[in-house]
Amino acid sequence: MFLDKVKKNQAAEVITVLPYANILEQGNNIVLELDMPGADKDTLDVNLQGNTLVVRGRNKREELPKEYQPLYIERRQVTYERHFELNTEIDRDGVKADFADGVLRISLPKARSAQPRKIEIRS
Amino acid sequence: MALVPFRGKDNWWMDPFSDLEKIQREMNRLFDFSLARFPMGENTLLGSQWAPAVDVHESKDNILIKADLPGLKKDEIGITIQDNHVILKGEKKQEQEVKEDNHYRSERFSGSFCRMIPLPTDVDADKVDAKYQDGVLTLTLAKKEESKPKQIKIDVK
Repeated sequence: MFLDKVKKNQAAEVITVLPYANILEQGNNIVLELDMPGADKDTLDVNLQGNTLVVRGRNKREELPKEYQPLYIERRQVTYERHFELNTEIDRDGVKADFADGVLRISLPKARSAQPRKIEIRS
Repeated sequence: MALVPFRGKDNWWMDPFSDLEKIQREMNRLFDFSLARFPMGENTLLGSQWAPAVDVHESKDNILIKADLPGLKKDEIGITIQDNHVILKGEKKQEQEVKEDNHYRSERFSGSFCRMIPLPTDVDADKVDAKYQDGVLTLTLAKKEESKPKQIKIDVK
């Protein structure tokens, strides 16, 4: 039945999705938290090109033992990808990223020039 | 959902199924993906703000459930087996709301979630294996002996 064939192909197809993100400012850092459940650590890629931060990652290929038949599938094979435009000067050497429990946390320290600096008024 | 024959510019009459296939595929992709983010219906209890995407697989002896639950700690997830449903619930605590923090964007789900997953057979609640890794919860449930498919021998006299 061709519809079954379509369903099987669809389950195997890889789609590209935007991971949900929280962007917040914590002290002197801009922090991004992205939901990337099931991502394979080896495929995670965080790239800062000019003012654009590019985040990429790929699902772990789940190989279930042969005896299992799928009954109901909502999770897909995905490639996570998202671009962020930064409008603050960043200290590029201080960017840190870590991945735990399916969440990628990137912390970008603001450059000294972007920090508010009090200007003394000469009297 | 009924499929409507598509009379497009292409030579659909050459391969009458390819366009239907395409529409079906695109609609499925739209619905599958959006349902995965908000699987509502009888499976979600009122009051929960979101529900995880879930896969259910079955073998002769076991039922395997995988759920996408990023950013939770083990003690924030509650797993209950009731009648022949698995109930996944929990509370994703708001990450400490420090007052000086400026939140520019807040897309990630937070708050409580609850999802009831119907099982095809009864399972043995004492033999459940739960693993939480990289934001994915994997549950392996052993089917009750009487629920396993049994080959019945035919006596030919």
